[in-house]
Amino acid sequence: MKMKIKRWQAVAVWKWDLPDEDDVCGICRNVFDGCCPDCKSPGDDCPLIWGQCSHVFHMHCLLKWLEQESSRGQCPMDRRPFVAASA
Amino acid sequence: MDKGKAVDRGSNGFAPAKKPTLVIKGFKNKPKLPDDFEQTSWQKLEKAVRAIQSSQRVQDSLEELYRTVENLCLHKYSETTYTRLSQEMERQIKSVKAKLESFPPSASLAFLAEVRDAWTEHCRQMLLIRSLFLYLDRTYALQTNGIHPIWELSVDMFRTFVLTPGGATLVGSMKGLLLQITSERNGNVVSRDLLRSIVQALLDLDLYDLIFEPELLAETDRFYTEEGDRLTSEVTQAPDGGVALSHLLKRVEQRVQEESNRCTPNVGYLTPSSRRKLTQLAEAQFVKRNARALLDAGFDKLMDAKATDDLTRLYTVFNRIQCQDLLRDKFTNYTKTKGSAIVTDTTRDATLVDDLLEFKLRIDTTVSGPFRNDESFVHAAKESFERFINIRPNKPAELVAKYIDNLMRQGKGLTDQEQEGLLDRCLSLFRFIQGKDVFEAFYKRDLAKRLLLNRSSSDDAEKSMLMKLRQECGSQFTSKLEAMFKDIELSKDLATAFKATTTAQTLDVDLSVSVLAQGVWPSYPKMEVAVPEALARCTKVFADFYVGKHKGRKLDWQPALAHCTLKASFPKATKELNVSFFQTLVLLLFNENKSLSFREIQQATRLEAKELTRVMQSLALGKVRVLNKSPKSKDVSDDHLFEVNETFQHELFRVKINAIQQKETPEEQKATNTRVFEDRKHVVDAVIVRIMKSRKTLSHTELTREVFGQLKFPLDAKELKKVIEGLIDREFLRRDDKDASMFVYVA
Repeated sequence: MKMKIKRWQAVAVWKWDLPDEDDVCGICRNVFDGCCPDCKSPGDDCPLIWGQCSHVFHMHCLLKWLEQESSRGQCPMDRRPFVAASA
Repeated sequence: MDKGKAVDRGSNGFAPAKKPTLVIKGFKNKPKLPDDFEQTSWQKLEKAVRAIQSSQRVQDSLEELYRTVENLCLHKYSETTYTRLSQEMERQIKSVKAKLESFPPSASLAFLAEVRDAWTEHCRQMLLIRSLFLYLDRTYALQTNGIHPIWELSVDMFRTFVLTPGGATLVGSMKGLLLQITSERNGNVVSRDLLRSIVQALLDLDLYDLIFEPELLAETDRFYTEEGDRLTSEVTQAPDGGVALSHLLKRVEQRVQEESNRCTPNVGYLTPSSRRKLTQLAEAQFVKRNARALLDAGFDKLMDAKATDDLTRLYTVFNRIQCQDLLRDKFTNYTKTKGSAIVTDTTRDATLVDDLLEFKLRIDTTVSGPFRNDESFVHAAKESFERFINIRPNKPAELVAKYIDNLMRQGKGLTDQEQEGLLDRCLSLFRFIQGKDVFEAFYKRDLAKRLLLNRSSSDDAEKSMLMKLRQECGSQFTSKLEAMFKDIELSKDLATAFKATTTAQTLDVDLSVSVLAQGVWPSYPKMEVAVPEALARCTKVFADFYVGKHKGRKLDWQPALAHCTLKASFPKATKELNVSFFQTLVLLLFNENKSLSFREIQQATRLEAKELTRVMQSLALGKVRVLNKSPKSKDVSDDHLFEVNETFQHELFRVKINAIQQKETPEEQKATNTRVFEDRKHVVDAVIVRIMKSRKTLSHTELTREVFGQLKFPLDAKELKKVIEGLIDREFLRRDDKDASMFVYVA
C-alpha cells in the first residue's frame, strides 16, 4: 500500500514570542498573553511592543506612559530613551 | 263718490267721509245652562263607558262624546267628571278581579291565558276611554297635583285590585310563568307569545323589576345549582375528567345561549335587562362555584388532548366569571409539571430539545389561540419555562447548544427558511436558560469544530445564528465567537498568500493552516507527537512565512485538530481518504511496514496510549476498515498486530474515516463543564470584590442579595460562602471585629 498526503489542513495557535511565557508587562503587571487593563481581548487588538533596549510592554500601556510629561520619552525599566525595535 | 273728488281730496282739504260704526251689546238675559246639563251629559258618557266596558257598540258618535267631555270641563265640571269616571273604572276592574278569583287558584296555562286576556281587554278599553276623556285628561288630570292621569289611574287600580302584590292572582300567574320557564329549560316547547304578553303586563304594571325578577333569579339559581352540581360531580367522578369537563363547558355555553335568546326582544319573552343576570347565574352555578374542582379534574386532560375548542370555552367562561387567576395558576402548574417531567427525565436526553420545542409550540399555540394572547397568560408561560428549564442546571443549555450544532452541521435537508425557523425556536428556549455561559462554552466548542473541520452546512446560517445570539445577549457574549470567524477568514487569506510564495511551491504537500488567536478559541489539551521529517519541514516553512509577516509571534501546532486528505493506493483500488492528522501519522507508517504491533506504532508516533487506542480502533474496527487487526477483538493492547487491509474496497472514491476524536468523549464534556465552573468562580470573585470596593462594609445578607442580583448564572448559597471564605483568606475582605456577619473591604 502506498499513502501520500495530498492536502494537509493544519491548525496552530499563535502566541507572543517571549522567552518566558508567564512574563508580565512591566507597566500593568498583566501577563503578556493577556491584554492591557483597557482592552477586553488579547491578541491582535492589544499588541506588544519591543524596545531596542530589549524591554517588552503592551503597546497601549507604553503609549499611555509616553504621553505623560514625566516619562520624558524614556523606557520605564531602564530610563534610556525608548526606541521601538524595527519590525 | 266719483273719481275726480277722490283724486283731489288731498289738496282741497275736504274731510273724509265718516266711517260706519258697529256697536255690540250684551244679551239682555244671560244664557243659562240647563239645570240638568251635567246630569244628562254624564248619562250620555256613562252609557258610552259601559258600552265600551262590556264590549258593545257605542251608540253616540265618538266625536260627540269628546265634545261632551270638553263641554263639561269648560263648565267647570272636571272634578266631578273625573270622580265619576274613576268610580266607573273601579267598578269594572273589581268585576274583572271577581272573575279571575272565581278561577280555582292554579298556575295552569289556562289561568295564564285568562290573566293575559283580562289585561289586554283592560288595555283596549282604557285606550278608548282615555281617548274620549282626552280633554279631561289634558286640562284637569295632568295639571292637578295629587291625582293620576286616566291611564295611570287605571294601571294603578289594576295593580291594586287584580294583580295585587302578594295576592293569589299575581302569585299564581308568576308561579305559572316560572313553571313554563323551567319547562322550557328542560327542553319542552312553550307558548312564548303567551309568556311574552304576561311579562309585558308585569312590565306595564311595574311589577317586573321589583316583584317578578327576584323570583325569577331565585328559581334560576335553584335550577342551575342543581344542574351544575350534577355535571360537576360527573366531572370529578369520571375516570377521564376531560371528556366530562368538555361536556360541561358545552352545556354552559348552550345555557348561556338559551338565556340570552330568552331575553332577546321579539324572540324570547324576558327583558334584555335580565340577560346579564341570568347568564351570570348560569355561569356562576355551573363553573364558578366549583371552579377549582373542575380545573383539577379536567384541565390537564384538556391540555393533553389539545382540545382547542374546549380550552377556548374554558377561557371565555373563566374570563367572564372573573376567575382567570385560577385558570392561569392551573395553566402555570400544568406547564411547570409537564416541563420539568421532560427536563428531569434523564432517559430522554437524546430527544430533550425536540420534546421541549414541541412542548413550547403547544403551549404557545394554546396561549395565542384559546387564551387569546392574554398578557398574563403569556407571562405565566414564560415564567413557567424559565422555572422548569433551570430545574436541572446546565444540562438543557448543553443540549440546546448541541442541538444547534447538529442543525448547523448537516442542515437535515431543511430549506433555509425551515432551518432559520428552527434556530429561532431553539433560541426561544435558550432565552429561558439561566446558565448562558454553559451554552456559550458548548456552542463555542462545537463552533470551533465546525470551523476547523469545515463542517458547517452553510456560512450564512452560521452568521445569522451569530447575529441572533448578539441580539439576544449583547456583543460581549459573541465577541469571542466573532473573533473565531475572523481568525478563519484571516487564515484563508494567509493560505492563499502562502501558496503564492516560491518556497511553498517546493513542498509536495498542499498545506493550509488555520492560525488561531489564543484565548478566543476553546483551549485544547496539548499533545506531543513525533512528526516525520518531511512534514516537520513543511511546518517550519509555514512558521517562517508567518513570523515574517507578524513579528514577535510564534506558532504552537495543534496536531489534534489537523486533518488530511490522503491518496491511498490499495491493491484493488485507489482512493482518497479523509482522515485526521493522527490517523495520517499511523497510516504513513504502513508505507514502509507491512505489519506493526501497537507498541511499535506508539514508539514511532509517540502518541499517548489512550489517544492511539482510539485512532487504531477507528482505522481497524470502525465502519471503514483500512487496517486489519489480530486478534480481532474490540480492545487494543500492546502486542496486538495491525496490517494493511489488502482487500479494501469502497463504493466511493472519497472515503471519510470517522475519527472517534470527532465524537464527543465524556472527558471532553466534563472538561467543558469544569471550565465553565472555573470561569464562574472567577466571575463571582470579581463581582464580590467590585461590590465591596464600592460599598466598603456590607452585611452577609446584603452582600448575598447584591451578588445574586448581578450574576447571570445560578449559584448555590453554599458555594457563595466558599468563595467569600476564599476572598477572606486572600485578604480581599475581612470580617468586622465586632459583628461577625459584617464584611469589610480590605484596600
